Amino acid sequence: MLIAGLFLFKDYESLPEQHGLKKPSQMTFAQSNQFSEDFNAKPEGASTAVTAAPQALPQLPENEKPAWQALEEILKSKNDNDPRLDTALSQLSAEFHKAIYSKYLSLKPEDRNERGTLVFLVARDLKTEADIDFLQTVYEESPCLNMANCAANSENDPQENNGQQTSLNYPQLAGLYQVDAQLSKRPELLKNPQFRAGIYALLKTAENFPAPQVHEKAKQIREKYGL
Amino acid sequence: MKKLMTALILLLSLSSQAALNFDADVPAAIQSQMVADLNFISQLTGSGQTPFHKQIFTAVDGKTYQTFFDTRITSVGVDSCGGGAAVACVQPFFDPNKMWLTDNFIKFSHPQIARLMVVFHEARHSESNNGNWMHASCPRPFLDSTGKDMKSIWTGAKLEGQPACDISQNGSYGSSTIMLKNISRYCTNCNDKVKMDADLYAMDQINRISRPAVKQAMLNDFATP
Repeated sequence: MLIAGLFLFKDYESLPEQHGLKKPSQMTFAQSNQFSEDFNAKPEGASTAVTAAPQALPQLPENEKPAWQALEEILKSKNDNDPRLDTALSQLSAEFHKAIYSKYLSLKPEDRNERGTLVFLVARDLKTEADIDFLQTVYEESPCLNMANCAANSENDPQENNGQQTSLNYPQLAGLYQVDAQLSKRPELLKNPQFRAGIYALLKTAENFPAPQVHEKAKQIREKYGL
Repeated sequence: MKKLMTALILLLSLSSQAALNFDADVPAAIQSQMVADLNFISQLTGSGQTPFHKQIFTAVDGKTYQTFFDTRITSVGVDSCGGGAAVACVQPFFDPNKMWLTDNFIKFSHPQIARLMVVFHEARHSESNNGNWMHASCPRPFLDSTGKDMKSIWTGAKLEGQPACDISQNGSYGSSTIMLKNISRYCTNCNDKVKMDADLYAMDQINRISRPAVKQAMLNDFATP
């Protein structure tokens, strides 16, 4: 994800300016700068799955439409610290949750933060069997292997791995984080046998997710609550 | 005189990001995202801090983070940073106070706090008086808490022997981990998502601390009452 500085130990007399160099990448002998200037272009090979046409406004009660509008704005803005995530977008109805499930499926797999935000909202507001069913599908997905194209293998340079695996697994990790938080805050949830069985099944599915970061966390949660 | 004072106050109250010089070829989309991210962190408020955070940054506070960044990075350019999945880099030999962003800064869908983690990690590398906090080689073997090799699941590349670890809590991985953990714990105007994200990325990054005693000291620091 990042290079923590390319420490090229050249002669100190060889100042970049003397060689007419303007960018660090001009000093390397590696591949030429592949920097793309077209920021609207789809990354080569990027997943084209689920690139549906813009979604029509979901069928929601009138009083929930502003909250949906807020959600769309927040997802588009890339500014995560919107207070509406904690106000307008908490304690949501079953219909709203259903709209979130659909929205999730409409997003590209590469939209890790957006997908993770939706998973976060559902898991934080965990209520119904439908919520658990939705979360189950998140752990049944194929893992995202590459930020530019989930289906492609990552050219993973350990030096560039600064948080990248967390981002690749972000929807799955956000879900587990909130499930853990909810079970901690609302232990009565596990007293419902059906809910308990659902959470158990969900965590077992997560334990089969290929990324160690995810399956170890799921196992840790299951053991923490004696499931 | 009153007009002059008003103008001065207005000038001073402008976000310090106005003082951050962007090269002419930095696309507007990258500039605006960087400014928005820095604006968010500069307005953060906190209710406390752990001892390690106090040593490195002082308070969990937006102005503190703004000053930390502004005293290290004065300009931003755009570059491939060697290509691949890099989001940002600092080239201390080239210019220690310049940060280079790649197009991945906006193309990749990282949570906002993750982008800031990278930015502050890189800013730490600008400290020439501290040897730029060069990374240490990860030990051989380099094992996780379950005794397995720390490696990429996708390529199998092991971290052992790679210059991708820190031996001190004060390095780039250590300091950004401490910053994020403190935000998760003490931020008073962060929403639940941001606090969760800060915690997730902090607990990922702590695995780059290769000395067990230092890692434990950091965990103890995070647990400070």
